[in-house]
Amino acid sequence: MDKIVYIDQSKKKYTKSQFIKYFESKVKQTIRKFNMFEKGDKIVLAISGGKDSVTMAHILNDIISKRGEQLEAILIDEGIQGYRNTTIEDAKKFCKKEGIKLHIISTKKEFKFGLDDALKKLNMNPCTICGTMRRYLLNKYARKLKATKIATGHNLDDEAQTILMNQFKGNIQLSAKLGPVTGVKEHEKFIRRIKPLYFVTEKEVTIYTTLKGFQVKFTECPNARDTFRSEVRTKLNEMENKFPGTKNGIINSFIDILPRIREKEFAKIVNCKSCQEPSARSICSMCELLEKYNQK
Amino acid sequence: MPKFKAYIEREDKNVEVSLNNPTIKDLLIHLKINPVEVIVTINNEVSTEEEAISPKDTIKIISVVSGG
Repeated sequence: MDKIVYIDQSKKKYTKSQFIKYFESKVKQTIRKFNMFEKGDKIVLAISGGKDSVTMAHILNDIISKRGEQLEAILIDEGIQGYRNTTIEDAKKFCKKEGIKLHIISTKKEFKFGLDDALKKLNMNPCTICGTMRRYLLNKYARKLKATKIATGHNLDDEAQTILMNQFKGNIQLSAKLGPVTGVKEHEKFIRRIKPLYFVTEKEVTIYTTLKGFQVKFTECPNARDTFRSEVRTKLNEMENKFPGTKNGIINSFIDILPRIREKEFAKIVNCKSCQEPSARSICSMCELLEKYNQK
Repeated sequence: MPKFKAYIEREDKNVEVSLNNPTIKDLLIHLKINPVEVIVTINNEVSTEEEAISPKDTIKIISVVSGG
């Protein structure tokens, strides 16, 4: 009898081949249900070399390559010493194996500083700085590649944590930007983002990655420990352990109310007065960050 | 009581515990590790928490929390 590798919430048991089939079906179903892309869309992958983006890339590549198309991916190198350099090597090997064309964009080349430099000068949450740089560069360079969609490796855990974080900070409006498909529908400079792993958990991704033999390191960003997110994650996982299905409950109820939040909260997108990139404000977050950095 | 060895990848640490006829779940409870946050391999094979372990097994506890 084949070994059981996974037992789901309803206590159903899966062998290796059953789990892989279940996982891939779940991701493909998410893509279909939310009309994540159609023929004619050019998808660019946001890849880091970690388990989530590699999993997302593998499954999308399986779909897209059947059309005879080659996928392209962007990796943002934020210059995190002892971490990003190792994941870049994993990403290169993975993309070469999969036949995905990889573009590496360095924040040091683009802005003259990386995250490590920024943290020495600025008293800011590292995830805020990193997120600002990554989103800005992903959008800018995906547009240069003529992408119509950017696919990210965000999973169910990521989303559930962010929903709670926004709620705890009293800023539910931020959640208007979340969901399986994000971004404003119509702005020539803003590329919509899709999250094919939206309904799979971090644990399921780890099992899939291990069973498929992807060469990734399960390392955590050194700036990610002892943060607000890590606290929320720990508490959420404690709840999930005691009350299985908690995370699914958060996501499913959020999907239900998301259209209402978006009706109220979508700001008009304008071009940043400084760099002309799309922004919800007259000066975009990246230009504000650059100003703070250069003032110090 | 038999001894069981496990490697906790996130901490790069080897541990040894004495337990009676444990499953992976028993081991994780003893080590105060939340099973939601890890996958466990026995002799390099992904295993579930229900699986029984023996002292000869090579057990690896891998954190699912990775990335940024």
